[in-house]
Amino acid sequence: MGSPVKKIMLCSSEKEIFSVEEQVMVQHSVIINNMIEDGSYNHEESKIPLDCVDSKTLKKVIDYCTHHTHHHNDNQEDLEAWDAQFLNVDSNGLYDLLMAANYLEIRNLLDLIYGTIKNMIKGKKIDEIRRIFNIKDHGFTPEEEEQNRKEYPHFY
Amino acid sequence: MDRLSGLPKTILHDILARLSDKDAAKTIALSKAWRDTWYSFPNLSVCSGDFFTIHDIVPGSSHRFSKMHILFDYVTKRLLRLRDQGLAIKELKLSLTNLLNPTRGSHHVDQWIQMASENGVKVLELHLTGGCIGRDYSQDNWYDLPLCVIEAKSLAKLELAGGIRIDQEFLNHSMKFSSVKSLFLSQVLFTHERIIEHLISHCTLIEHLTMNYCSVYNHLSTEDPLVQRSHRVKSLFLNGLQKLKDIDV
Repeated sequence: MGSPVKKIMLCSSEKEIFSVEEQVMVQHSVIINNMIEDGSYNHEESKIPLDCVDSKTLKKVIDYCTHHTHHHNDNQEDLEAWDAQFLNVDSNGLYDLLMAANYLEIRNLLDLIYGTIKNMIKGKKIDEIRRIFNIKDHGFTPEEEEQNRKEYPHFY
Repeated sequence: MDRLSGLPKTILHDILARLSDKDAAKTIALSKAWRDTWYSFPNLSVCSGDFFTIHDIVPGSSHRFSKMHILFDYVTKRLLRLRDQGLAIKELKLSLTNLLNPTRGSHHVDQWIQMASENGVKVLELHLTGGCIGRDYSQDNWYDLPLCVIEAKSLAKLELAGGIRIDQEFLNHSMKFSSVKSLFLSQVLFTHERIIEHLISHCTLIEHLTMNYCSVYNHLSTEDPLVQRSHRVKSLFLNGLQKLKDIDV
């Protein structure tokens, strides 16, 4: 017995289709949950277009939601280790994930990314944060930069 | 431009909101994009201890006033910048030590509260230490809450702590506190016993109410010394506050 696992289709910005367990996305994404609940998603023909999420990022987001659905009973340490490994990406990757999590309203992924960015800033000096964020051009004129160093010496 | 700096302002503000005040303040010097983000960040949280230590402001210290003025300037500039951009001031949290006298700090705090009240403030927290605590109830040691605070229509949380006086002048005005859900009063002096009820009766949506060490100063018995005329709140009647979830008196 047992009905087959319900699937939904997600379409990346490159028009690549990803088939995911409905329950996985409903549990994590407020937006997809709303679409299923209000009936705006038709299981026969619909696919959810995610024009601002590329395939690479969408695959990661799906990985995250799937893992956290199937492993939510794992002990906290294992989950945290998995999350840390998951977010071991450069600042561009972090940007893409953040935009996707924000668009799909995946709260726990957002919190995870915010926490990572928080740690990138916490207790660090300006030059170090610039390196981590890959800020090559800070946009200040030499005079402004000098003024900053004078005004906020403790940040440097 | 690096990509993180190019995130939408609302997301960058979410990030700033999660940082400690110190870490958030650093972003002003990170890059031009982060500076713009910082200037439009609607939450202002200031602790005087981040600006100077108690030794900097003892009478006789040469940079006593300059250190305080850095703080005054900083807060005023940030609030003005938000106001002038037409942006809301969502949160104003001030934790100030020994600032009110004799530096006329209270004049600045009045201005800040006014700007916040007129610009959609949702969370207003004022913690004052030094000054009146453990001392008598003589006039100079209290900070008078400015009347303009009654204009804060969108205020959801009001926290007043440490040597703040609410004058009976408030009784003559209707407060626009219909959004207030949380009210926290500690070491607050009311100059008339009806003010507490007046204040709370305008908070029709209140859910959390806390009062610690609040006193009423009865101005009618003028022949007594001030210190004897103030007494701790003895009774409080609350009716018809349907949303109230907890009280801590």
